[in-house]
Amino acid sequence: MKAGLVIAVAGRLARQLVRDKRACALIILAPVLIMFLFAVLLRSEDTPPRVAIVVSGTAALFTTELEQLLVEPDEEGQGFDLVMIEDGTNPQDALKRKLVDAVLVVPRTFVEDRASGKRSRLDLYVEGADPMRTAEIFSRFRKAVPDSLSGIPTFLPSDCDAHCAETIADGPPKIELNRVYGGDIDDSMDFFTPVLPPFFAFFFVFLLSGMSFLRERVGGTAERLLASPLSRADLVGGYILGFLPAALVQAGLVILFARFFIGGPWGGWPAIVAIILLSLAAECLGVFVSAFARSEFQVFQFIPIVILPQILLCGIIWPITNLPGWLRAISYCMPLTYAVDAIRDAAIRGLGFAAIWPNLLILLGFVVVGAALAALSVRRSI
Amino acid sequence: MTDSVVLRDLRKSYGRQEVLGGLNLNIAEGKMYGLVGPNGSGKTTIFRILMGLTDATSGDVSVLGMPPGVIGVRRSTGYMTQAEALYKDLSVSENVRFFGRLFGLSGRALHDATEAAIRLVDLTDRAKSRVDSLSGGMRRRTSLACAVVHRPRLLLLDEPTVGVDPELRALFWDTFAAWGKRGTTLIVSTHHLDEASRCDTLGLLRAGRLIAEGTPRELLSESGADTLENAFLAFARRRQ
Repeated sequence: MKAGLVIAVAGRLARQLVRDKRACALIILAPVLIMFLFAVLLRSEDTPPRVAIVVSGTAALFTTELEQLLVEPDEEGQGFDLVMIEDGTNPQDALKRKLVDAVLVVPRTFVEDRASGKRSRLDLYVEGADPMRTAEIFSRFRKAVPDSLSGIPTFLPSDCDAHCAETIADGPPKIELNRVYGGDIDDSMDFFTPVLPPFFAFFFVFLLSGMSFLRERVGGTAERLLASPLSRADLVGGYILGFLPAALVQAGLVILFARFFIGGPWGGWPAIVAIILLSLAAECLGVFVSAFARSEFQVFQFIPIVILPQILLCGIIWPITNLPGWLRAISYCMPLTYAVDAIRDAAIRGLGFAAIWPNLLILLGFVVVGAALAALSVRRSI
Repeated sequence: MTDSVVLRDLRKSYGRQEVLGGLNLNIAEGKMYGLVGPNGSGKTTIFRILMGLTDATSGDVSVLGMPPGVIGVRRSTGYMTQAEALYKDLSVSENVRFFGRLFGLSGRALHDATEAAIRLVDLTDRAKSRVDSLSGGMRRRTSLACAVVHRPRLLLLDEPTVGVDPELRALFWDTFAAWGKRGTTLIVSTHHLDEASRCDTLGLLRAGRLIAEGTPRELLSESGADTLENAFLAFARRRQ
């Protein structure tokens, strides 16, 4: 190795890099942006779980105490956010409608059971799709509820005599966990597996279409195409149709792998439709973004700007409800957010097209807007 | 005889840089017009304006009696760009067929037109070869075949002979002349003044302005030069 030659090559690279203003900006901005997002996400405090209490019978006497004890922050500063639901509302309906994160049902005979020496039972209803969220809520209840309820018999009427007092149970009540969805889901991998295919489809289709259109431009064929009767809409439409099979094959392989190698739910046809729409949106985005790149290197530079924030903010890792308001607003501007939501609805909550169509409609909107932006960007890029 | 292309006071600027400064041209139908000038004189910009790929800053443009870039113009025009502009991982015939399809050809007509265009550029024996396996000259020929597969009324050839060996250049110009006789209007840009003498009319461009226009014979006579190269230099000096 000759030092002079090595220095010549290194010097040439440095000169090129310094002249590539966008690369320089991204070298500085990209890690700052990503680390900033990580910092915000890691520091963002979990939103207190919204809990409703359904009490009937004699236990109603202790509702206020129970509510206070649940709302009060524990030693880690964590408490519950108390939500009122209409009388007679079915806990499962309230959870399905996302009015609450948990419903604590105190059975009608709770006090009598404890007074008669039985351990007694509390029913905790959770949505259950996210095993981590479920575990977190359950753990908080287990910490808060026994303390608050162990004293319930002491509130019994004063006519409880010594014999009665001896029979009073002083152990913590049993908390029975009831999940609306995800009854079979215990492994957190089951929560992540269904969203892997859309993520891979989005990432690779974005890169594939961006690079391919860039090649069209740099090679001069784009100029030739636009000098033919082909319209910009035809060109973008052709790209969408041309890459769709590749996107589907790729998503299909990931689904098969996830289904048979990792195991767990995948969402069926609703998931496939969501992945198709997401892939189309990714293609349009790839073509649009490539208009702002002059080289393949510059297309790669868009990954930390376009792809990584979507992964962090779309709900794959951090629940969107836990994001600060301004990040949540950004999250709702990203197609991956709606695909992940739709696919989890289908795979984990077992919902069909009738329930997930709003997300699919929004994804279709991304495709239409993306195609329009891509078509508009084509001329700029030639 | 009607004019295929009319430019009136055509101006184009990129920011503060003026690329074309008030160009007036009339290019008659069925004629071969040579746009001659050094690199950066505005030849490619004229082609791009004619095809609607970029807008003129001001001035009037008419192509085949229509505004530039409209579908009617694009259907009737063949454009060979300065870059090869080919899909290198496709074969010669696949490239030509693709561009034929874009111009509305299909079935037997597409098949025949593809074969004819490939024959015209003398690449029949390499029709099945991938473009990336061809020499530079063969690629230029493939590019030309893509531009003419639909038998356009107007053919814009941007530096078609750059990087082409002398023998092939002669073949190209013979082909252009044959198309001119068939009634196709050709606008050919070049900075090779020796080959430009094959054109019916020449427009000498310098820094976005037309410094002289006429038949090769007229230009030689008017400048008093013995070659077109010297004629160009003489006109350029007069303008300074």
